[in-house]
Amino acid sequence: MTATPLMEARNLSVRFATPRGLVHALDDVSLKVHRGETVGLVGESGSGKSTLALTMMRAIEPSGGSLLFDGTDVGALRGKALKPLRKRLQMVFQDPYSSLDPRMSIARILAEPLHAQGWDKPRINARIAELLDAVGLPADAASRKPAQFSGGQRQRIAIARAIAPGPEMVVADEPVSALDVSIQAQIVNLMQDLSAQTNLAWLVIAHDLPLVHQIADRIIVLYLGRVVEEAPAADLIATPLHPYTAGLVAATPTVDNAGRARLVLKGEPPSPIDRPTGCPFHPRCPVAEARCATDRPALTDAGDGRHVACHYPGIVPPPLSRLFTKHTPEGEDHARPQCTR
Amino acid sequence: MTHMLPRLRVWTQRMTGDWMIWSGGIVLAILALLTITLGLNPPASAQTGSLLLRFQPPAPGGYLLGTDQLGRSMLARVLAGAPWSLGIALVATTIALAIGTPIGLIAAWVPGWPRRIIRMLVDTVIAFPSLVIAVTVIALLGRGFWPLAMVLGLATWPIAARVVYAEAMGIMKRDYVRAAVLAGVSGPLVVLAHVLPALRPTLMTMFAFTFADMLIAESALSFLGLGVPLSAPSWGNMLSDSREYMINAPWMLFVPAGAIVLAVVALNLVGDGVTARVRRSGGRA
Amino acid sequence: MSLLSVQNLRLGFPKAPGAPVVLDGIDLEVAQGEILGLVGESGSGKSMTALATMGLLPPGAQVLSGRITLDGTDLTDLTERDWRRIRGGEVGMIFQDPMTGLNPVRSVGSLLGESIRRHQSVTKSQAADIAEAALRAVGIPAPRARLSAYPHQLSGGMRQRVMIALALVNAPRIILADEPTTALDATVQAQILDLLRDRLHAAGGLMITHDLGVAADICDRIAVIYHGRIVEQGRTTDVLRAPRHPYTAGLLSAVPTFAGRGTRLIPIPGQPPGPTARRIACSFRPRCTHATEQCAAVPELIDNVACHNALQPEGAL
Repeated sequence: MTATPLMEARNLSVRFATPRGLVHALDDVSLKVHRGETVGLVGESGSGKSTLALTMMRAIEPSGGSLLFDGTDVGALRGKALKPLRKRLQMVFQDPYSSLDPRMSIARILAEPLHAQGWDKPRINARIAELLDAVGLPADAASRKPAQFSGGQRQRIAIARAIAPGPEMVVADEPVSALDVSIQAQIVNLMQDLSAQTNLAWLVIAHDLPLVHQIADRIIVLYLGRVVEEAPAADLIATPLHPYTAGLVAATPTVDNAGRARLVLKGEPPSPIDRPTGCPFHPRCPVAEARCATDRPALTDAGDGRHVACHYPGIVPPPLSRLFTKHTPEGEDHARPQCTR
Repeated sequence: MTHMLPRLRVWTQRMTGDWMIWSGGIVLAILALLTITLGLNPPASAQTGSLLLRFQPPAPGGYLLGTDQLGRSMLARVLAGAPWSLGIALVATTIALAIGTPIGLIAAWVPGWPRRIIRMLVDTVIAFPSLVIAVTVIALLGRGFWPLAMVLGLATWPIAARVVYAEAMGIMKRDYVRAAVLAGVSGPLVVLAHVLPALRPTLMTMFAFTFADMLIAESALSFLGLGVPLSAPSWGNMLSDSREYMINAPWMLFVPAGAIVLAVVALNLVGDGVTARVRRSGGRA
Repeated sequence: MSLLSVQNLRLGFPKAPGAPVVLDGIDLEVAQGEILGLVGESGSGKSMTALATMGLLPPGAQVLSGRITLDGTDLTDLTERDWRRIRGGEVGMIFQDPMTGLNPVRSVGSLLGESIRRHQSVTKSQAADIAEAALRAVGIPAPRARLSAYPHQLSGGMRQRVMIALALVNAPRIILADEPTTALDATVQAQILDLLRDRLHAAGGLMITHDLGVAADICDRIAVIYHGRIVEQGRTTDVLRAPRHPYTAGLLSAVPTFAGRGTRLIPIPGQPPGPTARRIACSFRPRCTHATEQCAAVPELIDNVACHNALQPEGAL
């Protein structure tokens, strides 16, 4: 694929000075998001995934590296110069209860980004009606206030606000983790539908691996501010190359995963202030060798659109081989449970 | 027994708030009404008294609140004093908030030099003993309604700025403010449309408490002879007058003191009530 | 032989506006050596059930009818003093948030020591030894040194281990865990689930969770709760493989799984009813794709499922 990626980060670094020391929230992160594709970004605490989201939105300024949107460097832009970017790149926040101003009507909330882009009133009103329809809310919602809506509905409003100016890409930071399970599916489906209808690209940041696996075309795994693996979603889960990815896959309990291979990683995600030397994962890695403590592995091409940053990729056996092996009959039973009357 | 505390707390929270706002508000409304009607056009007995009727104690049939050392009606005087005391406090509070709020907002919104300079300025002004400033300015400008109101207002704006700054910093961290910035809304518009409305409860309580403070400050300055002209019946002046005659005519003390206490308590009730309501509804949506 | 028994528990807030009823006839049994998972979404009443079994109901909450018994002892109307004897002793509790579940101004050793000495008659130094052993048993390295640590000095996973140690240290007869892993990272969650699986089987456990995967992982039996009533219960593998209540089936179709990537998630339309909604018909009816006229009556829990049109397991007659 040689088309210009819609969003590209090249060797992006973000550092914060805190009283306790220098925090490397992001360290030499490179990634691409293409038009119309959904990319999932997973990581645990300290991985830097939220920082990456905010940096891509230019709410945070990168300390190093470059950020390109549709080929143009946006890393150094500031203030008014960012306005054209705002039309094309939007964000959905995690908490539907704090991302909508409780004092404003839904109509005002939805109109705000459009006012900022200079739309006139009739055009805004028409768009508001369109948006409410697109996210499955009734037209009379426009005159009401956020408090009258449930969490799932509020997240729909937040999505409507994000797509209002017709962006090409939306960054969603944990878009469903604050919602009930049965509502999460509604929002996930909405996101997929919007992507299909308008060729919208999503960057979905989450800690929930099965969710990301469901919705994303490609998944990027972050650990302590670095990309450790990147692959098409199905491949990443079926045959993870990085030991951390394998650990993450094995650690996630799902209904069909109950019989998974045991691979419980020891230790906990370290703090970004006190980073290990060499490979950031080596203290917890089940297959680390001497080399891993001194040499930091670079992100290398592993073929088939996959990249991994590991000296010994692919050594850990895939935790879900039972689920995905085609010749065992059990493999098919573990799809969604069937129920008949 | 301690297990009952949570129950007690919930009950008190529910009971407070609304009745506080109502009771305080009604008292303030009555005071305002009296000030506007009778206070601005006081009966003559506020100014001229009959020396034959000096030091009359409060009597239901005659002078309801008694008379002072010149035979003037205490009731008339305290009503006549209301526009002075309440008026000065009101103007001072308005000045303090009108200056302090924008400055606090600017310090919160604009990082870097503006924030640092404003914070230094605020800290410096607060560090000065306000009484000293007041005395100096009054000595230069003379006494009267406006000089006093201005001095009090100018001495108090940094406190308002500090409160607004702290609140605004917290509000700006909220997701919906971030969302507005990321939607491309310009800075001043974000502040006007999102931060300022969110500040409303804070501004309301700050107004009530500052008003009370200003009232007491005016009384104190007038009591010391540094406030309004000596002939004006401000409550502080009335307190000052009562100093010599307190023992023999205690009502001369109690009437102005009572008025001050009444106003201050009513203001504090309103302030606390709004705070309780905000806490109860998690931010006054 | 059941350890913990909840019988027809009804619980509400009679003095609050609308007199909401949060639990409307809960029946649960936890047997010795078994882990029962109570699975539900927000507003289902699962947390309130847990709180009722710990005697930690919020002010205004009242048991309207029914009983809770632990090994014969009636827990329903205990005084606070009796509860203090039972909590931490016969009943061990693990809460969701390790940051607020532990007193931040007390050291780990003093928290453990206090609980030990309240429920066991031992000396101070004996208590310290017991505390150290408890920390070791939950996998905390250098346990003796850790006794003097304060909660804020420990990571999230460590804090949760301390909370588990607190729950287990007096050899409780039953352990109540309310969303014990929800606030933890995925890899840490796996460690804690392993730990819980071992420890909870030693006595008996009631685990509250919204996560079907977690329930599948460590619960022997599960009970699904919706709008204050149990709608289905049974052995975990049976219920998850062949759910009989449309809500359970709906949840399973709405949850992403690793093998189900190609298929679209099927959400449950609408929202769960609030606690003030009256219970005249089946609570799930507005959202149910299998509803019939019979559903105008509240279904009883018969044969472990509360549904007029219970789905038959595959292959059944």
